[in-house]
Formats: sequence, C-alpha cells, structure tokens
Amino acid sequence: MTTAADPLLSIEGLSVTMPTPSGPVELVHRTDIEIGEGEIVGLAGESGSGKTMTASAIMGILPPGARAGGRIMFEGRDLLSLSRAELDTVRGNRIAIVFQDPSAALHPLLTIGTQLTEHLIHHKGVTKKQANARAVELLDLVRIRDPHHAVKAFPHQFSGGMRQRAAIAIALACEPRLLIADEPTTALDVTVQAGILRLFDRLARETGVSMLFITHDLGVMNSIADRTYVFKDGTVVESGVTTTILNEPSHEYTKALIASRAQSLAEERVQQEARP
Amino acid sequence: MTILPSDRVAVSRASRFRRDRLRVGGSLGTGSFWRPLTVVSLGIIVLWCLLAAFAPWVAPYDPLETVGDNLQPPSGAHWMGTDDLGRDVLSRLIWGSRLSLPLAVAIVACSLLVGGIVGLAAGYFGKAVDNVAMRLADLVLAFPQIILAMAVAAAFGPSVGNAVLALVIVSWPLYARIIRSSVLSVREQEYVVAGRMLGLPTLRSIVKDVIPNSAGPALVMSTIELGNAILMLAALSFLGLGPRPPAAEWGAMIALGSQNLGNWWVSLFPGLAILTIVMAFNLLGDAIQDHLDPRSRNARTR
Amino acid sequence: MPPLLKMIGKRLLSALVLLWGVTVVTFLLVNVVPGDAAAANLSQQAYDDPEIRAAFEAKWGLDQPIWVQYVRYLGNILQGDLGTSQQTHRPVAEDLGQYVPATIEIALPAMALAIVIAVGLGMLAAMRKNRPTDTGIRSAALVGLSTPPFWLALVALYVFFYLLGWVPNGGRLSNIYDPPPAVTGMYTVDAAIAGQWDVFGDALWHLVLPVGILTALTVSGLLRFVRSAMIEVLDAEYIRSAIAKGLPRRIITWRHVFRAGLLPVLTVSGLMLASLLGGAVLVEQVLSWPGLGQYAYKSAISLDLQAILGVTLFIAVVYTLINLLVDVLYSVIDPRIGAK
Ligand SMILES: Nc1ncnc2c1ncn2[C@@H]1O[C@H](COP(=O)(O)OP(=O)(O)OP(=O)(O)O)[C@@H](O)[C@H]1O
Ligand SMILES: [Mg+2]
Repeated sequence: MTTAADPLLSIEGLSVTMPTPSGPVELVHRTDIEIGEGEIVGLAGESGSGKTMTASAIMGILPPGARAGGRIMFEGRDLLSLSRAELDTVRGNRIAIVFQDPSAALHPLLTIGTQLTEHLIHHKGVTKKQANARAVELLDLVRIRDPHHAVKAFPHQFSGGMRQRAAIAIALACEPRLLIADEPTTALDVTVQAGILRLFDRLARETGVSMLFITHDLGVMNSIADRTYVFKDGTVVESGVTTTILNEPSHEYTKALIASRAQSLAEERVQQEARP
Repeated sequence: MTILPSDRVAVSRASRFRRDRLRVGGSLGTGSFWRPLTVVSLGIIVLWCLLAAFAPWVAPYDPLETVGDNLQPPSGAHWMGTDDLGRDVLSRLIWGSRLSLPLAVAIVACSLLVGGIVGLAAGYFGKAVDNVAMRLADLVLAFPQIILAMAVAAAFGPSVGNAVLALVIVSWPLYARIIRSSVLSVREQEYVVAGRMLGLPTLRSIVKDVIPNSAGPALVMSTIELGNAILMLAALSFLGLGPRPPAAEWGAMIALGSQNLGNWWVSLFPGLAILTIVMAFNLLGDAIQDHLDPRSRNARTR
Repeated sequence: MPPLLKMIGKRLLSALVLLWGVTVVTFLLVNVVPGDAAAANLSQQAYDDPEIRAAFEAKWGLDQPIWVQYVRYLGNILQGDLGTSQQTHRPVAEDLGQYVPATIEIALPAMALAIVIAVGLGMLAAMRKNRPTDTGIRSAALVGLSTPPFWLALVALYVFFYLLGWVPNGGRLSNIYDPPPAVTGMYTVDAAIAGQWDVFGDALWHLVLPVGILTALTVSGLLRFVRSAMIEVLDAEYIRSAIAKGLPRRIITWRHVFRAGLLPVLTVSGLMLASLLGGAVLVEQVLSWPGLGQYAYKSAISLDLQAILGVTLFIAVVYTLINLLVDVLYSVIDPRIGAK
C-alpha cells in the first residue's frame, strides 16, 4: 500500500495501435499505471479490454505491426525508447512475465532445467553448474516435488498446475524486481488455482518482488492486490486501493464487474450444492 | 520429380480446411482473390487455352511438316528456329499446347473421378472396404510417382492413352483421401446434428453433403495437379513413353534438342512453355487456397 | 513393452505388409498388362518363329501360370535373387549392385545439402515474412517446383558445360581415368580409399552438376514446408516466452525456433526422397549418369520384366524403410511421443 515517491514502474499515456484491414485501431489509449516498490498491483477488466496488450507493451512483445506510444518508465529509463539489445538486458532479468497458458508458454522440446537456466546464465553470467543448483532451488521455492528429477523433465510430463509453477520459477530465476502475471490461473483447473494464488502471495512476501497481477476476477484481486486498476475498452476507468474499489465502486463498469462476479459465485454455489 | 511430395502435402493442406470455409462459388468476385499475381497467372492460363484452341490459325506453319532448313537458329522467318527435321519450333510449341492442356485436364478429371468413387466408397461403407481402399492408396504412394508411372506406361506400351492411364493410376489416391475424409466428417456432422445413431445415412444425402464439403480442397488440389500432370506427362514423353513421334509434345521436343547442346533453341522454348503454364497453375492453386482459407496464408510458401 | 518399442514394432509390421503389397503390385502390373516381353526383346523374325518364341518364354518362365511365377519370384526375392535381366543377361541384383552406388553418390549428398539449404533459407524466409527476402526465396522455389527436372538439367549442362566449360559433359569419370578399385561402388569414396587423389578429384568434379541440380530441385520442394513450419513456430507462444526472457537472438533462433521447426521438416524430408529418386531418373538420363534411373529407364522401354520388378521393388523398399526410419527418429527426438 506504499506508493513510493519514485515508483518502480510508471506507465504514462500508453497507447497501442494495431493495423487492421480496415485501418489502424487503437487498442489501448492514454493509460497511466504506477507500480511501487514491493507493491502488488491488480489490473482488472473484461476479456478483450486490452490487459494483455498493456503487459506486452511493457515486455516489448507486442504482435507484429503493433505500435506503442507514450512512456513506460522503469528504473529511470523509458522501455519504449530502448533498442532491442538494451531491452534484452531488462526483460527476463529485471522484469519477468508469467503467461496465461503454461502449456503454450513452455517450449515443448526443451527440459524444464534448460528453460530455467538459459536466461540465468545469459543475464547473470553464472556457470552452468551454479545455474543448475539455482534451478533446483527455484523449483523447491515454487513447491515442485523432487526438483532434482524435475529439472530433467519435459513440460509434457508435468500437470497443468506444475507447469505454471515451473513457469513462475522461470520468471523468478534472475530475481526480477517486477513480475507481471497475465491471468496466471485462468487456464488452470479450478482445484489448482487457489494453490497458485497462494504461491504468488507467498513469493511476493518472501522475495519482495513487485507484481502486476492481471485478472478479470475481482475476487482474486481482493485476495492478492494492494491497489487495483479497472480497465475497460483499452483504458483505466477507475483505480485505487482494492478493498475500497470493491466496497465502494464509483464507476458503473466496476459495479457491473462486481455484480457479474457475485452472480458467477452464486451460480458456482448452486452448482456445488446440486452435486451429490 | 520435384512435384511429388507437394501432392502429399496438398492432401494434408487441403484436409486442413475448416468445414465452414469449404463452400466454393459464392464470393470469388470479392475480397483478396484478385491480386496481381492471381490475375497474371489466370492470364497465362487463358492465353495458353486460346493458343490451344486456335492453334491452326495462330501457328505460322504446319507443326509436322518440314518448312525450312534443318536446325536454323531463331530468325525472322522462324522465331524459335527449326528442329532437326526442319520443322518450325514455334508452330510445334503452339500445337503442343493442344496435347498437354487437354491431356492434363483428362488426367486430373479421371483421377478425381476414380479417387472420388473410391474415397466415397471407403468413407461410406467404412470397415473392410475402407481398409482395403486406403491400404491400396498407401501402396500406390509407396512408389515414387514418376517411377511407377514409368513402369506402368512401359508395361502398357508407349502411347498417349497409356501415359494418361499411368498418371491416373499414380494420382487417384490423393483425391481418394480428400474425399474420404470429407465423407467421414460429413457423417460425423450428420451423426451429431440429426442424432442419427443407427444405420447408414442414405447414399444420396452423403453425396449431397460431400460434394460441397470437398469441393474446396478438391479444387485447390486439382488446380495444382493440372500443373503436376503437365510436368509428369512431359517427363514420360521425354523418356519416350508418351505420345509417339512425330507428335508435337513439349517433353518430346525437349528430348529432341538434348542430343546436341549447340541447338539450344530446340529445347529451350518448350521448357519455357512448360514452366510458364505449370507456374501459373501453381500460383492459381495457391490463390484459391488463400481465398478459401485465409488462415493458411502464413503457411503458403509458393 | 515400452510404448516406443511397441510403436516401432507396429510401424515395422505395417511397413512389411506394405512391402509385400509392393511385390504383388509390381509383379501383377508387369504380367497382367498387354505388353509382350517376347515382342519387345526378340527381333521380328525370331518373334514370328513359334519355336524360338516358346523357347524364350520357357526360358524366362513366361509359360507358367501367373501365380506360379509370382510365388517363385517372391521366394527368390527372399533369397536375394531378383532374377536375371533380359537386357544385360546378368542377375538383376548384380546390375543393381553396379548402378545403385552411382545413384547413392549423387542422391545422398543432394539430400543432405538440400536439407541444410532449405532449412537455412526457410528460416530466413519465415523470419522475414512478406518482405523482399521472403518473396525472393519463395519465387525461386516456385520456379524450381514448376520446372521440368530434365529441362533444368539440360539448361544447366548448356550453361555450365557448353558455354562456360566449368563442368564435364556428364558421365562419372573422364576417359583418361580408370574407375578406382571397387569397394563401395562410389567412385569418390573408392578413389579416396585407394589413395588415387587425381581420380578422386575428377570423380568429384563430375558430381558437381548432378548433385547441384538434384539439390536445387529438392530445395524447392522442401522450402515451402520449412517456411510454414518455421512460421508456425515463430508464432508460438513459447517463442514469445523466449523473447520475454531477454535471450539473445542467436539462442532464440537456434535453440528455440530451429529445434521446434526441425521436427516437421524431418518427416517431409523422408517423403522428399521419393521426389529426389524420381528426379534422379530424369536427371541421370540427361547427364549420362549410369545410375538406377538410367537402368530403370532402359529396362522399362525394353519391357525387361525382371529388371523393372527389381528396380521398382528396390526403390519402394528403400523409400518405405527410410520413412520408417524417419518415423522412428521422430519419436526418438520428440520427447512427447515416447511418453504417451
Ligand atoms: N494480433 C491482433 N491483431 C488485432 N487485434 C488484436 C490482436 N490481438 C488482440 N487484438 C485485440 O486487442 C484487444 C485487446 O486484447 P487483449 O488480448 O489485450 O485483451 P485482454 O484484456 O488481455 O483479454 P483476455 O482477458 O481475453 O486475455 C482485443 O479487442 C483484441 O480483439
Ligand atoms: Mg489477455
């Protein structure tokens, strides 16, 4: 809840434009987001509102053709103005991302160990041996059983939840200062979602990493984010302390989001009760 | 020859179509179909068709008669020179299209017919019929196409008809696979939609549904195969297993010039003729493919 | 049984069934069809003499019922006896022993070169998708795919031999040299074994054109697959992950993209072999390369029954086995397959 005087990341007037057959379309406009040191910031909004585009703009992985305007200040530099080589010293190293679907985000033909250590070796210049030791540590940190065995495994040998844990370990390998999690539980089985959320919560406390946590589930937001930005049609419509937003939403859209959340919760409960 | 695996791939490419994208007809008049390359390739095809249709009026000389001195290089009188019997290369080239184009169409049409019937039967009856038919297809595909075609054409004796027969024998399995998978998907659909649990759907309803369903892939395949047929036919004639001399066939004309490299014009022009028309068919096939299934544009390589 | 072994066993079994089918097809094809081997091999005068004709047919077993001929043939094949060529009056297996190495000598390097070049160009085209480099590479491949192989060979021969004199006028060796002592039947290898370096150089020089042409043809065929496989990989989310990890381009290209794109390419390369062998038939014809293609052609036009059966069978066996090998290799490389 501490917004440092000089935030870790500050997005100022971000816009993202995509060319389409019927002319360029602005998918994100005039967006301002700040993330303080050690803070967990939520980004909520319905599907298609531009959350992933915003995250991609930070990481420099916008789809081909897309152009980003505005500024993304991180550690005193504007990420949007960096060359690819300069950006490569930041991403994976100082900022890391966890994607929605770990099955798609992990390389199917490389071992978990390789995927855990390659950027570590590249960014930190450690030896292979040191990196391997660190890999085991990281897998242990994300609570993957038998890490010595797991580093030699391929992603397909893992369950969905384990894959996401591995992806989180990969993101944390270089001890980044900012972790972006783009709907990290949406693609997972309901039964493992809670575990992954608890993992994020614990990691934030243990490592002190700042987080941009993207979700369309305000309930999730409530349990994890200090502050929340509500996103609609490519821009922020409401922001503030999470509990305040949830308890006293000022924007109609936020109210609607909360209502739909309540409704889906109710539905879930009814379904659960219907089950024998 | 080089075209071989592309057939196989045409099968897989074609079967990647989504059902809802298959309906042909409709909208060729709109969208991205009329791109410059498509227009050019269609132009080339139309031009060759016209040349074939009007060969007797367009060709300056009789293709089979000695009309000048032997082996004259290109000149004002003979734009593409003369061959070793003093025949006009340009006239033979134009008349050559009268062989290659209709024969290619015949090969593709017959392969489509045979493959269509086999594929329909395989998909419709399933079980043993399907098994036998598809193993038979595998069997044919276990041979490099040109080598099997060569053996067939040689065994039946060199002639136009037998060359066509040979090429139909080696290419029907490609169509059979497309049609079969289309029948299977239609049956699955009917099974789901109509809740038809028992018994075979009527042959009539299958045919009615299968034709629009497989039209797209079959069209793409046929277009590319037209080019392929021209190449294979030329290869067979080059080996002396196609139309009998003195017929003006492009592959045979190239063979004639191969005996003395100095007379480059005898071989060069028929080769260019093959190259242009085959390339046009390939481009057109890709354009149709793109049009029917825009998602495949990335996968398009030609 | 481990799933991988089980899969290999299954593939092997279906390959064997397929090969058995191949013998039936080639055999029936050449026997049931109207072509008359006696007519093709005897002079008109000899053909008209019933006694000579009967003797000819008896000698080659042509007077026996079809199925007897087939069973005998199958039995012989299993003992490595492919019959005797009516053309060369030698055992077909012996003929193959002579011609096959010549074809391997051009086909193998061409295949290897083609895979390397196609993968390189395909990756380049995929990474420069829809830009001039890509368009150029694709156009070249289109031309290669639309060119009659024998005509390409002729044009190449005209340019590089007739006009420029850089390569010899076909054949395997210049007249001044004797073939090196036969070990493998491949002149370059045999010359190297015998230490005859001048012969080696000459044989290598003769390889340039046929290998070059076959490579070009195979590259054009392979390229579209490599490109689309690589484009698919480049679009994959795990490549975005790799970029987001800040990895250098070199590592992303070779460790992440290349590896994932290679698998589909491997399968196509197996299929591509058919086109290569087919192309070899036509190219060998133009370049007077005494390989399998020329042998097949010569036996086909003279209706040399045993020889055609031998060549076709041989090629189908090689083709089927290579694709079996590719299947197996695929499942060994792809960790996802063995586990299922
Ligand atoms: N490659 C693309 N080309 C054009 N438009 C795109 C592309 N990718 C996404 N979009 C559009 O951009 C908008 C924002 O997409 P984005 O993926 O950022 O949404 P999101 O908020 O992450 O949604 P979700 O909750 O479904 O992940 C959407 O309207 C989408 O249609
Ligand atoms: Mg998203």
